[in-house]
Amino acid sequence: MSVTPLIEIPDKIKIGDVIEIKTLIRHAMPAQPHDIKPDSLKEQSKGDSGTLRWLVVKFNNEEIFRTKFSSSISANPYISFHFKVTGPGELLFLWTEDSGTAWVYKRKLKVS
Amino acid sequence: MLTRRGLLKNGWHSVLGCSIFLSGYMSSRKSSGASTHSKLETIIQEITKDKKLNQGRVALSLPELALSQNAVPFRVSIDSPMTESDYVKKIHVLASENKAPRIASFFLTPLSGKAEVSSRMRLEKSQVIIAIAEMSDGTFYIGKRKVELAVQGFSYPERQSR
Repeated sequence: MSVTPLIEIPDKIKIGDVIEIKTLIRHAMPAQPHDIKPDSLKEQSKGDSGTLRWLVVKFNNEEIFRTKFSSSISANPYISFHFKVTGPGELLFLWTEDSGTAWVYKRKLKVS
Repeated sequence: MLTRRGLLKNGWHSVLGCSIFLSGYMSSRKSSGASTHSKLETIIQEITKDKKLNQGRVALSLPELALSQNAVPFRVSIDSPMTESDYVKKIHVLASENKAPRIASFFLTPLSGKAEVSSRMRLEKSQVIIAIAEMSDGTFYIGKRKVELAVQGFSYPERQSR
């Protein structure tokens, strides 16, 4: 399944700006029975799949933001967050399911 | 045949039955309410590790009336300078009445620049949403806000035929 995430970054960026980055990925976020029973941040047991669990964002290989999802997040999860631009570089977005399936997306950040 | 005595007898039985039914209903309601409440409390305890929850600094914006329970937008912003020495580490969003009360956790860094995140959540009913922020110095702040669902038990009356 190939999924192209949608990522929105402002056009004109200067060093020192705090920008809002909006992300959206197509995913059904099915409700899982394990989400109803143990409500802990511990990793879920093997054998369950299909729940999107993590969004990790890195800038020049340094982690800047991370989200842990549950099935209480709507289908096609939309997340927006802020980022202070320190210079030009590459943003990396990584979505991971419990099953291990992952989607990676990279975006060059142009700074004027 | 309905006699006065029979009515009295039956009436007594029905009153007894009703009271038993009611007491059962009340106790079941109480226990179910307590279980979700304690569930939420254990989650909060897990997050804060019994540290004090301070009021303020957390702003939770939600619609006054949510039109769809499948996608209720929310935005959490925390009053913080977001410097290397003082920043927001984590933001936890909890729904008090959902079967899975944890909605999402956001992990921030000083590079975030601004402690503000937004997303969309599923809600089972009208309820209070809780946001807990963990600061880099180990203190915790809590913010709450109520959200009403428009679709809950609501339908248009049927049009009358003439």
